[in-house]
Amino acid sequence: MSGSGSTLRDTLRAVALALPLIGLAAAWAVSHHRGQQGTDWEVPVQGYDPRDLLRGHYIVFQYEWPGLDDDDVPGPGTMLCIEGEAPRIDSVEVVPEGTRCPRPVRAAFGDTLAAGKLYIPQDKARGLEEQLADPALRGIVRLRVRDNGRYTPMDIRFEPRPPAP
Amino acid sequence: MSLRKLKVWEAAGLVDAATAARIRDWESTHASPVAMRAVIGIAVLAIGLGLISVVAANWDAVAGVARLGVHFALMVGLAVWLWRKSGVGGMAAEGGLFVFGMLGLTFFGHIGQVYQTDSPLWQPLALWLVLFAPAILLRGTGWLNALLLMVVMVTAAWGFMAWTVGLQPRLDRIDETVRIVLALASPVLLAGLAAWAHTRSAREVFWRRLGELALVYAAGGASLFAIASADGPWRSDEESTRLLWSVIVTASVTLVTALLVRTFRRDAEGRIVAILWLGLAAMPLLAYALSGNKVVAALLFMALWAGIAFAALRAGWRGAFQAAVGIVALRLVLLSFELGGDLLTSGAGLIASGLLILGVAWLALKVSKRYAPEARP
Repeated sequence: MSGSGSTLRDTLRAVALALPLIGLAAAWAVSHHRGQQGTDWEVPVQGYDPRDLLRGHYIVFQYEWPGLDDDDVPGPGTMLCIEGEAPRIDSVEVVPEGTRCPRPVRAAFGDTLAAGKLYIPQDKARGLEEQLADPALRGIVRLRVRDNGRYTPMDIRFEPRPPAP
Repeated sequence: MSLRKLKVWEAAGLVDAATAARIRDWESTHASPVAMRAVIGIAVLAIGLGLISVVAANWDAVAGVARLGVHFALMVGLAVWLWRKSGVGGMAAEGGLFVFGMLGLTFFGHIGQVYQTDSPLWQPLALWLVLFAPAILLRGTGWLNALLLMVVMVTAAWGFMAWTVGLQPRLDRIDETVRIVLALASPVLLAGLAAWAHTRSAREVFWRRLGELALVYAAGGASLFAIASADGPWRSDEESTRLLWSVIVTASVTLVTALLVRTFRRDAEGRIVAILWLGLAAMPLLAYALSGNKVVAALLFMALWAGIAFAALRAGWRGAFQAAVGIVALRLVLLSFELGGDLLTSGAGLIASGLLILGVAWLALKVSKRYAPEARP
């Protein structure tokens, strides 16, 4: 093998080790940047399935969007427009995907706006599961919504459920 | 070493007294403090395990960014170590590269946990392939990294299919079908790459393993085609256009692989492998043409594996030959039950089927012992 050939090969082999590090660092930076951006909104939730609140490391729940009836669930091809002052949502409206509105919420491709999930540490899982199942408590999930409507569930807290009207 | 053995050897006349004395002399000055080393080793191990368990127990309490930082620093350290070991290779470098790749895979999951992001499985796997495949292709030396690359590629392809089908269960567009089947067939192309690199690289074992893994994947796919051809006929199926496209795309990708192997591997084994690839390329077409008959499907399946056994025989792959003979025998036994469904319901039928299984097993064992090529050194 010629000298220049092996030098080229050595360079390539070194670059091949650097490439994953650069790529992963970039992926991390993008996730971090996105995680910082956006407006936080608080959305009431209820347990998705009382027998199955935990799925692996995730707690799963259904959003109870203020101002929406039970049969008004945002389906595929639709998005939401929020009315209110962050973080309090007064009401939301289901509109067709692509509608222009000041504060949109869009599901990720292939995902749904009806339900969500949140990664939780193992030692907190049991407590959260019990709180979510407790009828006297109402879960509030903080959603961070970017300007383009894509959102990330940040955390969950609980408050006493207001008495039914 | 134990000096007791030396006494025995001296008594038996295997070593003379002078030699034994010299050995004792040398041993006494060169003896390594085994016990001391063992104690130090155990202590280091205990400290290491302790550190790991302390970190593991408090892992959730560490802030997300710090956790990711530790994870990333491990990868940087490993990359630097691999880079400094450049050219030396060996088991350690192969293992290190594998761990590097695994740390990369888990990093995506880790980001997802910390930032609560979520994406379909195939997307991080595809990104991993873009980022890590060069390192593995340029530095992998053994089956471990060949397997890692193959498994990730296959999982990404099937994950992509599951995701696309899950989004719209009714795939009526042909280009979507073509895209999915191309993804599913793409791991096969690694065999073409392996054939090209086989003679150009010092890491022959890696490329050989990669080629073998691609062949195993393709043989599995061809078997699926043969099995699926029991239903049908496909040409009168309401999905016949999509089925035809799947068949054409799979056959084309496999045919390209056969041509690549034929072009780049000029040795005797390479010729056999190329012919085997050609046979695998024909399988989807045969499955399409002959679909709709149970017995024909079973014969197709057995012909496939008999062909693989024959190729293994000619190329001298002992393990592959025996596996292929076993698979043909198993299919033969199953076929007999499919044809005579009532074999298990009467006493005589039970006896007959028992004898049949014994006969086929005996024959398969005989064939695989008698004709199997010698194992390679």
